[in-house]
Amino acid sequence: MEQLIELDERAVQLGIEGGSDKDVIVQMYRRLRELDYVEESYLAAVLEREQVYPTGLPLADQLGVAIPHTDAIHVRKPAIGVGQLRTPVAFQVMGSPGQTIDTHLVFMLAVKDPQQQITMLERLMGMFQQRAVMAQLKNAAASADVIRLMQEQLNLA
Amino acid sequence: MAKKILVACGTAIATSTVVARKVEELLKAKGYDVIVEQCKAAEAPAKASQYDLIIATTPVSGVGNTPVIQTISFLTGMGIEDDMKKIIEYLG
Repeated sequence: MEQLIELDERAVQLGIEGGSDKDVIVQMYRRLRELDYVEESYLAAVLEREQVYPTGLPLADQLGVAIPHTDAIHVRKPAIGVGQLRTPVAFQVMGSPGQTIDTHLVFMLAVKDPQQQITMLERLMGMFQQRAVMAQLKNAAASADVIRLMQEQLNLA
Repeated sequence: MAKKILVACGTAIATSTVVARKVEELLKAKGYDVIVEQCKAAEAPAKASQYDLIIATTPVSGVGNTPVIQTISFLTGMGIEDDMKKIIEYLG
């Protein structure tokens, strides 16, 4: 079966301790940068975008996720960075200025070609709607478990 | 004639791509003939007049008389039915 996205266990960060949304984004950017998925310019671009167009999404069961991302020009190779937060961090809600959501999971998207990655993005949003899967991701104790769950949802669906 | 819908989000990278395809699928399944295109929110004012409806995941302004539905339901899955009713009302 064709892999829609190559999931990289090294891009999964469990138990991130972040003082703010910005702090979490910086930690996750550093990992994607080390792994050569994004350009240095990605950080400033994603932080700016998050201020103007925030990406927090309130899901079922009071679970919050955020999907920071920015223009393809700042991306070297497609990837998804996964951050599981030790304690929830407030992110601004998409489309609702001034409103925040306690966020448990952050999926930092490195999108190179939206049209090519659309099926993967659709499946990612589909995964957000699966409460059992999201609870398992929120509580996962090993990066390999996160990759296995996401592999099932994004590549084998 | 097919109605034209513009889907707008911050960067036109992730969310509008997903929303556009979802809206198109759901409307076509209900028998509506629609053309769905996407853009960045900042591009919406210049494009608005060519569309019958704008669906946005973020606030948009300066779009004249084109109606706007602002929603994240197509991303979170919560509230899609209500938004589909609104969309269908606008499409007439």
